[in-house]
Amino acid sequence: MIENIGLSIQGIWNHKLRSLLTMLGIIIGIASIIAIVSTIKGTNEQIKQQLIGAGNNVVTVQLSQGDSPFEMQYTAKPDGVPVISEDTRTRLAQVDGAVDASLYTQRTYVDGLIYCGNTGFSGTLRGIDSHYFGVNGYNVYLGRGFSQQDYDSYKKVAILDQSAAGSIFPGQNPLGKVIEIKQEPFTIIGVVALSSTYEPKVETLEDYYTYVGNDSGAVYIPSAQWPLVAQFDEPQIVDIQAATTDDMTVVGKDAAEIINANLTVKQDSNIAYKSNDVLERARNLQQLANATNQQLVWIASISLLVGGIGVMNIMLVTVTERTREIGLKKAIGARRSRILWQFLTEAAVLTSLGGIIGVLTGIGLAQIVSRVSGSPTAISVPATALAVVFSMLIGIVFGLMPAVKAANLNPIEALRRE
Amino acid sequence: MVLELRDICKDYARGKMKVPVLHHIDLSVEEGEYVAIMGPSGSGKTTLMNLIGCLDVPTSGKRILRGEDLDGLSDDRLADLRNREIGFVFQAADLLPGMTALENVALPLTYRGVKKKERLQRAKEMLERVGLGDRLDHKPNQLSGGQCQRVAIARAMVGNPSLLLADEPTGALDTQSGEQVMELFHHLNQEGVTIIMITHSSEVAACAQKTYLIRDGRIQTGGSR
Repeated sequence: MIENIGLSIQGIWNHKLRSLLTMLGIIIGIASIIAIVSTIKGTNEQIKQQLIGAGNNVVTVQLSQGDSPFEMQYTAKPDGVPVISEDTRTRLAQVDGAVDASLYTQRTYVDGLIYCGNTGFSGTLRGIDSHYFGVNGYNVYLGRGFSQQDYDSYKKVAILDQSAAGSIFPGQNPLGKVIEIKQEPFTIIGVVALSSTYEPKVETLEDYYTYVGNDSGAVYIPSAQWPLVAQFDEPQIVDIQAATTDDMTVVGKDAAEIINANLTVKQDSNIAYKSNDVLERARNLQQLANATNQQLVWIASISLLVGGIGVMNIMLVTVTERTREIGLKKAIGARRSRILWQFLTEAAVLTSLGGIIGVLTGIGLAQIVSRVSGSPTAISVPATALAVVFSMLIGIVFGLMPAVKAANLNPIEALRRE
Repeated sequence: MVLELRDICKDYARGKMKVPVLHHIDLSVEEGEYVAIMGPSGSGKTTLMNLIGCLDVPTSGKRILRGEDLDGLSDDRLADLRNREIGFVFQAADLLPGMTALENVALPLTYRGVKKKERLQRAKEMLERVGLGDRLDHKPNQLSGGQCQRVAIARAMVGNPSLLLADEPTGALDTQSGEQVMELFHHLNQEGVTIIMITHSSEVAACAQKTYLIRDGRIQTGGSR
C-alpha cells in the first residue's frame, strides 16, 4: 500500500502539469470551502467576543420587568425585592462554574447627576462593592482603588474609568480633583482600566449599537455612598464572572434562581431577576451569519463535483494510455484486485494532494479576505481534516469506474496494443 | 512433464461467424527442453502462446501445467499461476519506464508478497546472472534495446518459473543484440530452464532442441534435431 502511494506520487510528479490541471477543480472547491468556513468561524468568534467583551466571561443578572431591565431611575423601588446580602453574594460566587460575584447599583445617562465645575457628565454612575473591579477585569491604572476604610467610614471618594477620565479631565491628571455627584463633592482617588484592552471593531451604526452601546465612561463610588446620591436599599445588579465562556449561560440562570428565591413579589407582577444572556444573543447573530454562508458552501461543493468528474476523465485517459502496462502486469501475475487498488490509490492520492493544496490555498485566501474586508478568520482544524478526507473520498468515488475498467482489461487485448 | 496440451481447439467469434484459429493441437514439453514454435504471422502461434501462458482459455481441449489442469480456474488462480510458473518475455521488452532495472525485475515478486529486501536481493542476483550487475539503478530509457530485453528476461526468470515463454524476443533487436539474447537463452537452458520460444524466424528456431512448425492452426512437423 505504502509502495503504491509512493508510486502514485511519482506518477503525479512525472506528469506535473496534467496532475495540476486535474487537481484544479478539487483545489478550487476545497479552497473556497475552507475560505468560507474560516470566514464564518472568524465572524462567529468575532460576534461572540464582541458581545462578551475581552473574555472576562461576565454574566450580568439584573432585576427585570418582563423582558426589559427594571429602571430604578424612573420607577420607585418595587415591593418585595430585598437588597442582596453579602451571604447571598457568597453563595452566588460559589455557583458551579462561577469564579466571583459582585453587587452594584447604577444609573445610566442621567443628566445633571454628575458635574465637574459647570460641565455635566452623562456617563454611567455605579455604586460598587469591593469585588467589582476584580470580576470585570479592571486594574487600577492611576492612584488607588477603594479601601475597606472608604466603605466603613463613608468616604466621599470616586474612581473613574479611562474614558470618563478622558472626557471629564481631558489632558489633566484627575487624581485629587473633585466632582459633584448630586451636589455632593467626591474626590477622585484613582483611574481604572481594563486589564486586557479590547476594542470592539465598529464599522456600521448597527455594530455600534450591538457592541458598544454605552461606552461614554463610568464613575465609580463605594456602594456605601449610594443612599446619598440615589436611594436606600436599592436592589443591586449582580455581575458574575464564569470560569469559561460556555459556563456563562448556566451560571447566569443558576444565580438568577438563587436570588429570585428571596423575592416576595406578587405572583402576577412579572418582576424577577434575569441573566442577560449575551451568549444567546451571540448565537442568534451567528445563526444569521451561518445561514447565508451555508449556501456558499453548497455552491463551492459543485466545484468539487466538477473536480471529481475531471479526475474521472483523466483517470480514464490514464488507463487507456497505460493499457499495455496493465496487460504486462497482468501477464506477470498481478491479480485483478491489485490493478484496481493501484488505480484507486492513484486517484485518491491525486485528489488528496489536491485537497491539501486546496486547504493551504483556502487558508491563504481567508487571510487575504481578512486583510481586505477587515473581518477576522479562524482556521477550523476539524474542517480542514474533513476537507482532506473528503477529497480523498472524491478520488475513490470518481476513480472507481476507471479503476474497474483497468482491472477488467483483457490482458491479451491489452498486450496487443502498442 | 512441464506442459501438456491435448486436443486443443480455439475459435474466435467474429460477429456471428466462428473463426477457428487452432485445430486439435497436441503438444508436450518436458523438463529442461528448449522448444521453438515457428510459423508465419496469422498461423495461430500467438494464440497458442496465450493459451500456454494462461492468458486465454481454449474452446475445447485440455491443458496441464505442472500436473495442474488449467480448466475452469478462477482469474486470480490463473494470475498466481502466471506469476509462479511462467516467465514471459515479449517482443518489446515492456519495462515500466518509471522504475529502475532492479525494480522492474523485482516486480513479479511483489505480486507474490515477497518482502522488499529479499525481493531486491533476488532481483539483483538475477540481473547479475544476465550480465547486467552494473546497470541495477538504470531506468529503461538509459539502457539499450538488448539490455532492456535482458532485463525483461531477468524479470521473467526472477520467480524461478517452470517455463520461460518467449514471444519473438529478438524481433525488435539488431543482429548483434539479438545474438546476445539468444546466447542468454541458450545459457539459461543449459542451466536447466525449460523454454518455449515463439518465432517466425527459422534462424532463431534453429537454436532450440525441438521445432514445431505451425501453419493454419495446425502443428505440421515436430521433432528434435
